[in-house]
Amino acid sequence: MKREVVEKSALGVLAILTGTGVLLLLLILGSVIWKGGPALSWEFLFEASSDFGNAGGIYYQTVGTLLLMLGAALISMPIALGTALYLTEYTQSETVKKVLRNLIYSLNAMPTILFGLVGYLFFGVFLNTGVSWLTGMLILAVMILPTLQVSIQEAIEGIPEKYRETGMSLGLDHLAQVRSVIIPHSWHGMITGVLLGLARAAGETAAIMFTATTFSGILLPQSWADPVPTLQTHILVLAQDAVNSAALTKAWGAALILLFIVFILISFSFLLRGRLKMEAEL
Amino acid sequence: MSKIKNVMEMDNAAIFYNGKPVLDKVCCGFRVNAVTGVVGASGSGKTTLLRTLSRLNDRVGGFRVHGQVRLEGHEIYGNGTDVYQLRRRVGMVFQKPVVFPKSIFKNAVFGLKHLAPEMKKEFPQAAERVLREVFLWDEVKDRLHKPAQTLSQGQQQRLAIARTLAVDPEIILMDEPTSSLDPKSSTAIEELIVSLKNRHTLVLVTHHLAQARRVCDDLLFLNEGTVWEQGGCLEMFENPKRKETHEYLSRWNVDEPAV
Repeated sequence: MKREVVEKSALGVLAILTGTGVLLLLLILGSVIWKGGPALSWEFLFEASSDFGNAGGIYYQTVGTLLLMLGAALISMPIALGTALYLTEYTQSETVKKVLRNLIYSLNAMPTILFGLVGYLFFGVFLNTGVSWLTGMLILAVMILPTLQVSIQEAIEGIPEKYRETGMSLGLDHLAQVRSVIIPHSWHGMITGVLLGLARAAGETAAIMFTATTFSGILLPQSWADPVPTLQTHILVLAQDAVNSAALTKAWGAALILLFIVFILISFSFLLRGRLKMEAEL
Repeated sequence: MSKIKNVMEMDNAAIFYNGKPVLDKVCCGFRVNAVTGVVGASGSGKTTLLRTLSRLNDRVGGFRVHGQVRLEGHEIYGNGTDVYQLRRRVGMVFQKPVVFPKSIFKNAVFGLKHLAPEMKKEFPQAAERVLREVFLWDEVKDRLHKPAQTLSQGQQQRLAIARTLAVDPEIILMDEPTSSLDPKSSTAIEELIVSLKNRHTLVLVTHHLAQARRVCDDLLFLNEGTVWEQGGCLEMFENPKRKETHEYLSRWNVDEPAV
C-alpha cells in the first residue's frame, strides 16, 4: 500500500514537472505567434526593411540568415565527416579516440560568446576577414562542428557490423569501404547533424553580432568580405531600440519566421533520424 | 594427406584476444578443390579459426596471431601482405545472409564494382554468371533491379555467395551458412557447396554433423581451442582415432533434422 502511494506521488511529481516544461514552451510559442502573427504578410516576407525596421519587411534578413547557415554547413560538413571517419575508421588507439571525443563534447558546451570573441580575433583580426559574411560562416561552422561531428559519428557507429565485414570480406580497401559502405549507410545521420547544427546556428546571435552582420545599410553581400543582414540581429536591435509598437510587432514577426525556420530544420532532422534507425535495423 | 597439396595451412598457430588464448598449437591444412568441414562444440574456436584465415579479425582490439598461417606457402600475417588482395582471394560467407539495401543486381556485382570498375560494361554478364552458379538466376532474372531484401533467407544466402563468387576467390570460407535457413534452402546450399569445389577450395564451419558427412571431403575436429583430429571425412566418421572425436561425431544422425 505504502509503495503504491510512493509510486503514485512520484508519478504525480513527474507529471507536474513535464507539464510545467510543456506549458512554458507553449507559452513562448503562443506569445511569439500571438504577437508576431499580425506582422505576417506577403510584403513583410518579400520586401526590404526600411526606416530602421519601422517599415518594410525582412526579405534580405531571411535570405542573409539562410546564406550564413548554408555557408556554415558547407564549410563544416567535410571537416565533421573527415573527423568522424578518422575516429571511427582509421584510429585504432582508444586513448586518441577518447581525447578527441572529450574535446568535441567540450567544444559543444562552449558559450557561444566565446566563439564570437575567439572567432573574431582569429578570423576577423588575425586573418583579416573583418566583419563579413565569410567571418560569420567560419564562426558558425566551428560552432556547429561538434553537433555535426557527433551526429555523423553516431550514424557511422550505428552501421551494422555485418555491412562492414561483408565489405572487408570482398577485399574492399579503406577508401572503397568508406565510399560504398560507410557513407551510403550514414548519410541520413549527416543530414540530421547538419539540420540540428543549423537549427542551433539559426538561433545564435552572440557569435555573429559583431563579426558578420550589421543592422542597417546592407542588402545582400556582394562578396565574401561584405557583412550580411540576419534575422537575429534584426530582432535584437528592434527589441532593444524600437519605441513604436509597429516596429515591435515586426520584431515579433521576424522572431516567428526564425522560429519557423528552426522548426522546419528540427522536424526534418527527426524525420531523417527515424529513417536512419529503420535502415540500421534492416 | 601430406602428399596432397594444401592451399592454405596453419602451422603451430595460436590466437589470442587480449592476451587470452582462443586457439593454441593449431596445425592443419586445407586441400585444394576440397570441402573441409570444421566441427566442434560451441566455443571451441571454429569461427575464430575461419576469420583468422582471411584476416577479418584485424580490426578487433587485442587480437594477436602467433605461429604461421600460410596461403600457397606465403605467410599471411607477415609484413608486406596485401590484406585486401588476401581477402579477395579468401572469400567469406557469414552465418546470417547479409545483403545490402540495394537491388539484387547491385548486390551481385558489389565487390566487382570496386575491384574491377573498368569492367562495368560486363557487369550484367558477370551477374548472370554468378547468379547461375548459385542456382538463383531463374528465380530472379525478371526482378534483378528489385531490392535484395525481398528475397527469402535462402535466396539471400545464395545471393551473398554469388557476390563472393563474383570477385573470384580461390578459397571460400563459410561460417554455418545454413544455420538460419529452412531444410529446403539448406539442401540448395549444400548442393551449391558440392558444385563449387570444382573451381574453389571450401572451408565449412558447421554444427550439422549430417551435413558435414554429406558435403565434406575432409574434417577438422576442434575441441577447447586445439585441433584434436584432422583427416578424411568418412574415415573420421567411421574410424576416428580419438575417443573424444568418436563421442562427438557419433551423434551425427541423432540431432540432425531430416533434409
